[in-house]
Amino acid sequence: MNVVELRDMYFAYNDKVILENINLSVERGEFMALIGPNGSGKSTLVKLVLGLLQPTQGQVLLYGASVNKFNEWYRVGYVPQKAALTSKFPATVKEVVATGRFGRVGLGHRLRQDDWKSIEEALEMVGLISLQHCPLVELSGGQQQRAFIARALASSPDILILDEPQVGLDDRYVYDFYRLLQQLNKEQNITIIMVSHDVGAIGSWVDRIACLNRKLVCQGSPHDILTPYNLNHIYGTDHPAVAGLH
Amino acid sequence: MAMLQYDFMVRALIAGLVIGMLCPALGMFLVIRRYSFMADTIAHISLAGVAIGLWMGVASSVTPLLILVVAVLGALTVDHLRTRTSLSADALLALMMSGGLALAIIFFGLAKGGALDITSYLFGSLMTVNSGDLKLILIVAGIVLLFLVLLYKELYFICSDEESARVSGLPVDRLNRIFIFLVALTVAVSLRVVGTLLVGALMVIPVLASLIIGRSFKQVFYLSLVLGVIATLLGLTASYQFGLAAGGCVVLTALFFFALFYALKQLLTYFKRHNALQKDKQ
Ligand SMILES: Nc1ncnc2c1ncn2[C@@H]1O[C@H](COP(=O)(O)OP(=O)(O)OP(=O)(O)O)[C@@H](O)[C@H]1O
Ligand SMILES: [Mg+2]
Repeated sequence: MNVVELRDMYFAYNDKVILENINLSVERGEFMALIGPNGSGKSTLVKLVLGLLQPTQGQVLLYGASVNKFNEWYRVGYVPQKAALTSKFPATVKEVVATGRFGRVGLGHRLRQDDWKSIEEALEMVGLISLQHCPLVELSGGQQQRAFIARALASSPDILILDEPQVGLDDRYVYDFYRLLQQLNKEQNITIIMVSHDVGAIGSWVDRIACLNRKLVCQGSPHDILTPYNLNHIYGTDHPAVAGLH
Repeated sequence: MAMLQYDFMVRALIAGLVIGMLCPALGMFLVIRRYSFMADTIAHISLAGVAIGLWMGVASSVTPLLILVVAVLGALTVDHLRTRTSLSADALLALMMSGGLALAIIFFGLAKGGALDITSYLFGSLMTVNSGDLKLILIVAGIVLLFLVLLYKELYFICSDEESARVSGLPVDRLNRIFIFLVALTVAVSLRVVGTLLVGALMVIPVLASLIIGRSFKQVFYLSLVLGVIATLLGLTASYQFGLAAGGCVVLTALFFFALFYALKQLLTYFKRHNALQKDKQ
């Protein structure tokens, strides 16, 4: 079954076409990376999938239903490229991560014991449990990013959509993080769509890579996609990752 | 508690305490979303309601209802423009505030006279709260508290990260509209009590003071309610003892807490840093 499906989709901001004729489907249990240069429309595509933007043409389907009719949003975990939290937002790490659970609990209901357990598990997964009572503003940028990842995990999602989640994470943690994603993907069959510029590393983790540059340039297994020819074609210049590949 | 032997004082106290709690409870969500001037804006728009009532010559018992209607209409307009235009929060509020005040001035001019009524709405007159006013305040308080208890979690989510709240499936636009409606109700009934000029202060200052020392959202929220109530109690007592304007006393007391917390925090930071440096030397 297709978790996400884009059919002949176009998107334009005012009269500037950003995405053109996109056909893409992501199957249940897949781990897919979306790559492409700055401004190629990756975040825009993610927002279309989440129903935050409406396509100018074509269809966006989630679990087979039109995104506007979809009402099981608690199944979707989202890590935005830039978290919208104001820099002085007064909340503890745990309070912020807890919001990820709200969609599951439902409007007007309180979090119950097992909800708090999921929230603590999410904190555990990203290694922030010892900082849970710390105000978010007192965390480093990378630690905050981990809090936002935990927020997405707290809803026990079936599908994770991450927009450059590894930005700001240190090298050692990036590795742990990819391993965590792989574990969620393999053990809990969570579908993952990850936007990334980390071309050098993701190849060994994901099942499929899709390259975007206004159009869907190419997609396939990491082995087929991550060739010097393709990367040069996508990124236009000699990409540093290309040198490391062969 | 000699002051409690007077009915008007008891009414003033109840009205003051209820509003002292309600205002910061809503103000919390406004301050965090950088809409600190929302209450002032709605208050100035409501003033136009007072003026229109005066001009039409409606009975003074109808005026509070008229204010309520104008406040709600004004608030919904603000919300509409907020979502439909790309105006920044401060620009939008500045536009609406001046618009409301301009309307008020024009209708006050047309009405001629009735100056007494104006000042009671401009500066508030807590001591003249009658039982009708009090009833309206309690009804509004009931409505606002009910919604706050039900939607606290959602309002917190929206003010933490509106986009993520949308992705989680919350009807963000509808909730925003409900929230601004609650603010309008609260401002409308607070007008008589603390006055146009101070209702915004009561929504914002206890929250700003609590933000200095609170370490979680929950702490800041409840602390600001407590501060709102304490400031009202102390302010009213001072006003009674020294014969000063009640609204002014309440807000000055709240400001005093802000200054106190700020100074305490500075002091604490200084000592912490000092101690850390000492330890480093050893
Ligand atoms: N709100 C907006 N209004 C108009 N144009 C926009 C807006 N947001 C993005 N764009 C344009 O859409 C294009 C795609 O933006 P998008 O954020 O999707 O790129 P991206 O692939 O995520 O890039 P990056 O790697 O830098 O995150 C860019 O050319 C940008 O100028
Ligand atoms: Mg992007």
